[in-house]
Amino acid sequence: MKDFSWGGLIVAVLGLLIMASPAYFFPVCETMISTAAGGSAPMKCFWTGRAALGGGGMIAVSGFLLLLAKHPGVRLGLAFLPLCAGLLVILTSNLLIGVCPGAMMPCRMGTLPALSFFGFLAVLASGCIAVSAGRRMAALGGAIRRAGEKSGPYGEKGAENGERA
Amino acid sequence: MKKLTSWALIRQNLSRKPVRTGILAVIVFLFSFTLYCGTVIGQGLSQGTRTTAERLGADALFVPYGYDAKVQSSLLRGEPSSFYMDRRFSEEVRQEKGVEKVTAQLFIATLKASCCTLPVQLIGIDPETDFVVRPWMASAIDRPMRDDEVVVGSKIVGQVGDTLTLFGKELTIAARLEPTGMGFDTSVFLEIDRARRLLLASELGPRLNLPAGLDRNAFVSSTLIKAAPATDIKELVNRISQKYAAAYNLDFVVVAGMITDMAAKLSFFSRCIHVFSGVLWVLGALVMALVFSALIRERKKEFAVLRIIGASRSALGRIVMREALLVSLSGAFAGVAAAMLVTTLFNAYIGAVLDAPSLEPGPLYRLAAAAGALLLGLMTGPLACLPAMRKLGRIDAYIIMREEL
Repeated sequence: MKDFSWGGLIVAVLGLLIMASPAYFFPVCETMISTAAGGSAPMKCFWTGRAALGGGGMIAVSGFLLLLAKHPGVRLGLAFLPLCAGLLVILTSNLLIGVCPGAMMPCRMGTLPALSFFGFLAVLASGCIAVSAGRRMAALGGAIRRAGEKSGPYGEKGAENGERA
Repeated sequence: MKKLTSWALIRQNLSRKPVRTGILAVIVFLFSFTLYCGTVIGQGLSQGTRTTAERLGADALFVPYGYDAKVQSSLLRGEPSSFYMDRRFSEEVRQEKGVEKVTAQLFIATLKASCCTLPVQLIGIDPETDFVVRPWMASAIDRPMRDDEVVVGSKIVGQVGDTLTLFGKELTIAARLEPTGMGFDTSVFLEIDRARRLLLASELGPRLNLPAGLDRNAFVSSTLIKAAPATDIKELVNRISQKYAAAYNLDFVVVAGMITDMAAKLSFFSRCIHVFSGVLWVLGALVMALVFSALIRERKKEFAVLRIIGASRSALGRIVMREALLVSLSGAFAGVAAAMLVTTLFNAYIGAVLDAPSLEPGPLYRLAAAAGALLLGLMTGPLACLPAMRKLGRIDAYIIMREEL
């Protein structure tokens, strides 16, 4: 099986989309809540947007690193980073922080589905990279094992000379 | 040693050329995605339009001059707005020939509500004359609303029994209405006199800019009329307009016209989507046919070798057909899955962007649409590879291998 090498690019693009969604494509609510003390505070979707900026950034950086990494072991380890960050983006927007409750508010209509969608795709793409890298690791391990069995601990020459025998 | 099966060959052929396989799958993906999205969104809009026509119940609406567009956006999309006219009109028009029912409504856009800090449309209804909201409110609440109670649309936050702060007053949610797909989903309903008192007592009260000569205790926003059976609605509306327009500064909206406009818009959208899907399908099938034709030419030697080692012509045909089927299956499955995800997640957003009442179709309809899109997507590859398979039948292993030598 060929390595899912261009998957890193997909992950990086998804990370950038997650970062840009709350600010540009599907903006969070701009209205401020008036506090009892007479001040104003941003609504909770604002903080979800901030969290998405961090999570998306992490996904984008790990996507670029995945593009550079060649060793399947390194790729396997790196793939878990966007996978967890994608899950975090889904969880922060749906549960941990959430968005405003009103069904017709921009954050609930646009930002929440966008973050859930891109987060899900990031998890899916990272999962595919992890599975692909894992298979390559297993194939590589098998090849090394076979080579070891063939040559023996002292190399092919030693085995031929009957040193082990 | 691994056994050489047709499935092993297919898997290797597809995975050895990931770009070619990917492009073919993407073509089917786009077709299935567009077909599912178009069908489901179109059905949602059609259902929304139908429900609006059924639920509105009135034949014509009379509003202050220049507010016909505002009342439409308020009814269809729940965009909050406030406008006022004299209540006496609704009493006088009742006497007109051909008028069966008349009721008045008061539209108030709140500054903000505790539920969502965004303006909400408050609709004051007259419990004695209302024939628009009450018939379907009856399934949610079977008694008259108390003074401190409101009925909310399906998209307003809060459970039955919760309190809602509007204009500084706490009101209890007595019932929640079923989704309608129209502006009523994001509106709050209360008794008309209570709504007026609430408005006058609020911070907006002293600044309320009522048209000259309007009584502060007897203003409404719109008058809704239901014509008697067998009455020409256009003639009735024209007659009422001519008689009262100057005195009350009136404008009107004929509901049938509003619905017809929406239906025309919807039918155009639906046609566009289906034409686009059709073009995409034909283009996709053509591209796939070309690719499979080139593929057969490219793999002539491979097929010749397979023939020499004992594969029948039909076995070669099966290999090509299964390859096409696998590519189509992966593309169609991914397309339908992505489309289901997008239409489910972005349902409210799509409705808002299209600026029309929209109701999400039921799970059965969505499943049927998914099955249809999957089936049509699945057929693309096998149909496209049929011409290429005719070429396959003409492969002469001996000549091809001799050319090689």
